Amino acid sequence: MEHGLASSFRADGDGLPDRIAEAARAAEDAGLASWWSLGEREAALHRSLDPVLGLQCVARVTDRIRLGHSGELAAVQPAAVRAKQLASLDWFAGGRLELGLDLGEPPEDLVDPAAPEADHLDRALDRVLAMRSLWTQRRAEHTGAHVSFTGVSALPRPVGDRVPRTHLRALGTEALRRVVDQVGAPHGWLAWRETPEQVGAGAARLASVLGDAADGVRLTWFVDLADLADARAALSGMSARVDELVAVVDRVPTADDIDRVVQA
Amino acid sequence: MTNGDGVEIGLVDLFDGGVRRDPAFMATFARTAEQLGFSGIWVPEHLMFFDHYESAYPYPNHPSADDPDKLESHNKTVGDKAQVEAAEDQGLLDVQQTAAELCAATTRLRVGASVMILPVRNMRTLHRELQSLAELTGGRFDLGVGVGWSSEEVTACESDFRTRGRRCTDYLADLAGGWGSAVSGVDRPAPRTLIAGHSPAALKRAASVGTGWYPYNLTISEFTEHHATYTRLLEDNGRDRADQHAVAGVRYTGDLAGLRQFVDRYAEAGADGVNISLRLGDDDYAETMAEVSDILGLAR
Repeated sequence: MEHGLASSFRADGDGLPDRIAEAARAAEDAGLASWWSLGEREAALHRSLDPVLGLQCVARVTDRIRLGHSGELAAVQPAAVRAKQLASLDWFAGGRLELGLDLGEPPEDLVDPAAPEADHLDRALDRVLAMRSLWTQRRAEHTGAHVSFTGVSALPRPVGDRVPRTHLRALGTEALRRVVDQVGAPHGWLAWRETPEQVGAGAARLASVLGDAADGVRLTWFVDLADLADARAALSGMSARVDELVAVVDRVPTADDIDRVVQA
Repeated sequence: MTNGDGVEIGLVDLFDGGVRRDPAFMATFARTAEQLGFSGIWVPEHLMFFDHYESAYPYPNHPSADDPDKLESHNKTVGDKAQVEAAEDQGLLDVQQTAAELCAATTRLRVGASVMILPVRNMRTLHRELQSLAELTGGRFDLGVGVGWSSEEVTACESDFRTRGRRCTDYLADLAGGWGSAVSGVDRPAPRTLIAGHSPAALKRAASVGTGWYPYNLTISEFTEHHATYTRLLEDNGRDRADQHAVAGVRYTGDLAGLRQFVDRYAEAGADGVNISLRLGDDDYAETMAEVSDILGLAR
């Protein structure tokens, strides 16, 4: 099992870029496998820094650690705008970006007031497919209910013209079916601050939709730093196989926070 | 930093997300510009390119280096349509991440969008991005704003082309009115907001909701004429021209020795800053920057 951390980029106090850089180097030096941003939803709730710009600060001073956006709300931004931002982040990170999709209903204060009304999941999935076209095709083409284009060149594409590994924030069975039908099975499944029972139930939903293929889906469990020791203790009794345990830190991690993640 | 006449000199250049202009190149490029006394680096934005455009590129001519009252053409045309000056398979990194990267390598240099296509954005997420960027750059980001000239691009970004101007004005008013509410614990002023273009709508927008004006490739007489309109519109709105920032953007392809006189003409016509697009080379940009800095007397 791998260990990582998820960080808020809260702007409390001076020297924020330096503090992020210091923590990022420490996390990589300590051997952590991953650094995740909070999701768009949490960043909006806590009014913390933009997750993509925060992750760029981490990318700038690290070489190895995997960088994850833990909750991309594909429903709230135009596909071409977002594809450019995520591809650029991946370029700065030398191909280390992984993308967690949050396909739940977006919070009201992030919904684009200028966008026509639409089913949020329908629009999000259309945009996911549009972004994939932009990321993998030299002259991209996409025709959907919400996004359409043809003959588009959008460079840089993610390193290797790949679709960054895509994880799904845990979803209900019906939504998960729609997701799998339209954009395929995810690389990973993100259990965001769930109890061991909820994690098990999520894995069961995934298996009910994907069947045996669910075994190949990576399971990442996010728990608050304060609960990390309890979570570790619970692992052996859980029905689900957790591939990665991620400590959620509600600030730019201090050296002490990183020590606590490593020691747990 | 400004030249002897107090004019801010910016460089318009681009970072394409390719192999050659990697993050280390970007950092050295930015430090070199800063050390040589340039005020800022200004980066263009396109979310995408097309092989051919039905929309005509609006800036195919630029003022002549020998006589900035005359225009010369530098862009290719297809049929009678001017096309944007871009390489085949042209890349452009995200403007805001580019700004964050260049500012992380420097302490004084400003970085501007030249220009951001505002009407295709979700203003709520953009507000958070801009406030984050203000914090990460120490307030060194300037928001050049355009409405987009390519209907192909605006439409592919899920936006209505016809109403983009109105959206742009509304967004800027919202941004100014609500600035600071997206990220807590950050106390940075809103970026300087410079409106691109010289159409009546652009001038009206600049004079009402911008904090500056950023026309591109105008001759001296055009600049003078539109600057007078801009100043009058500001007065009509009860705003003081001295509080605003007018930057003349120009593509310059002539002999560098002529730059001093060229820049002075725009300063005399009322520009607070001149942004020069030289399309600097990967291998000789430092020499060119040094020569320009010397000619314009930028380094102290």
